Amino acid sequence: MTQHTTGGDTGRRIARRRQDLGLTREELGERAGMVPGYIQYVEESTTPITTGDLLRLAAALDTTVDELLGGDQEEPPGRSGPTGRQELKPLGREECLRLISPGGIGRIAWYGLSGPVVLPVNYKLHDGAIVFRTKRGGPIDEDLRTGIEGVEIKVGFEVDRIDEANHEGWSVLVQGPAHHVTSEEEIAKVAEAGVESWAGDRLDHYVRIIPHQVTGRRITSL
Amino acid sequence: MTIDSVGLRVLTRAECVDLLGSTPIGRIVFTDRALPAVQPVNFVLDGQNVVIRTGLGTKLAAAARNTVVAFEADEFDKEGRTGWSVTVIGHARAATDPAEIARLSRLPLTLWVPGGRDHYIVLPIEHISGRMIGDRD
Repeated sequence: MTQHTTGGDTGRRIARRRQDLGLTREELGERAGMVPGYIQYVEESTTPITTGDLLRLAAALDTTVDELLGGDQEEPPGRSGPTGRQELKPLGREECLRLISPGGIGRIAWYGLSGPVVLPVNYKLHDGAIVFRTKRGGPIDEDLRTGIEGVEIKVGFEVDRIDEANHEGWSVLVQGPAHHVTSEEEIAKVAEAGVESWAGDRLDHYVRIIPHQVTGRRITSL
Repeated sequence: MTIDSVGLRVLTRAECVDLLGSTPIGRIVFTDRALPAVQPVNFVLDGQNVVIRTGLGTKLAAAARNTVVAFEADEFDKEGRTGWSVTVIGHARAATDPAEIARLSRLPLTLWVPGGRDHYIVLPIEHISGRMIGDRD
């Protein structure tokens, strides 16, 4: 019988789906005809699970096996697990920009006054640049400046989609200057991008990252 | 409970370490040709150290030697509305002592990026901070 490796992403997807439905392990066990201890094992350890068990869990969780295996990711679920061979391929600029064009969460990194800084932000790709929001006069806004008029700080911005369960994924790195959007005209233009923020209207300052360098790589299971 | 300047809940050190231990992938920041570079990596928490395995001779291996490095891990829901993020800052070093390498090679560190993975980067947690995003807690 086919075996799927859980733990990592698949285990976490099962746990998250269960929590989203507001089910305890006992309740899921009852639905799937499994003991709660086995559910915990599947969620937390890297253990092979049969397709039959995966199908029962998917049915009990009102979802599909593909979804539990990460079939909603960019890559189709691979056939090889940790023991399979992987291939690492560099991605061209166009392909990188296509991959990051839906927007979402990326991580911005720069060398600030007190050293390296890295944090996740919600972004949109708008007018050829990465756009995100921060708080005007806040610590990020302050630190993302060189202190010299007209000289912009260079940042790295990373987006990835990694499926740990199938050992596949891609990552894209954008490098370039962080441009603070200040003129009324420019603000009106970036506002069109509709960048979401975790802190609502408190994040009233837009920053654009101009993609001088765009590199990426994709890892596929062979 | 501490709230930061944009209204996100500040995580305690213990919460940060717990969350860091719950995920196998993080992103390391290093300098590449004078620009900040960010790369996703598999890692494992070994006590108060973040341990990353990479190939000898990679850009990352060359850059993360006796230098201050930032490392980040996060997890978000599908819509990206709730989640957490933890950042570690420390002096990264390459493991060179054979006994240490032997011990590190026994850590449950999943490897799936091709190439020789014979080089360990050890990043002690000198500074750790994190935020809870959204209303999950």
